[in-house]
Amino acid sequence: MNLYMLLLLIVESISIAAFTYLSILFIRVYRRIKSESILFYTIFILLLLLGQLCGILSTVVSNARIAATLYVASSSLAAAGFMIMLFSSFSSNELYIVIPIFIASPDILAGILSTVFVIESVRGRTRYFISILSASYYIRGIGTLLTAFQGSLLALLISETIRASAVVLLALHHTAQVLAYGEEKR
Amino acid sequence: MAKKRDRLEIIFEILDALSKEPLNPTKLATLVNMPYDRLKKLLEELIEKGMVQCEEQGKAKIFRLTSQGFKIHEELKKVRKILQDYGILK
Repeated sequence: MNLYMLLLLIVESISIAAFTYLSILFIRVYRRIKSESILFYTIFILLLLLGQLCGILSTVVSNARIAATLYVASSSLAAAGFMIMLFSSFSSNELYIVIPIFIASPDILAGILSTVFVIESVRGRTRYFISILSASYYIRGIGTLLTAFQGSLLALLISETIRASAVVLLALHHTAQVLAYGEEKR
Repeated sequence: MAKKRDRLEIIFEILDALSKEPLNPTKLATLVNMPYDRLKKLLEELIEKGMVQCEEQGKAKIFRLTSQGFKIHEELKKVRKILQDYGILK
């Protein structure tokens, strides 16, 4: 570990300690006051804290794949945190135009990444389930935009149904694989 | 148009006013600038949470902060600057 990395770790650790202190303080205040704005800020701080943890871990782990995953997680968590704060900053008119674009973009990105993943690596029946899951992210992204601009919840409801079904099917499929292996062994 | 005050902001003002001295409902409503019927609901909530207590002095009611109320007022003062920086509090 070089000097730069060591200094970075020290700085990151200080920020994590400070964010943890703030999170505890805000959780305590929220428990007593039950104010929505305190709750939003607490979630914001907690997401930044988790993002910082992922950030610090991404610099520590030696495995490049884990490091890249944690790196993406750190910015994604921060994006989610800024999203909750943005809700209170926009007027309701702006909210319906700007926010859906922000909300839809991670869905589209998840759709693209899962499609690439299916094409590159996934085999067997799992491929079908991940493909359905992948499609649900695209529909979800489009559904978010349609809901905002046309006021129709249909696409969003369809996408949520597909996503939930795909996840259940995937989980059941993998559980069945594990159980089938147990049966074979017996 | 002036932005409507957040519930948190009103609670802070109530706690702030009561931290200086115990007050009757009329004076408290004037200090926090809100109608008594709305203030009453908030005060009931704060009494239920043990932050404020109500004493009857003859016909008059006097509201004062409990030790719990002083504690939460101090904690709110600590986080106030942060909340102001994010536009959550004025």
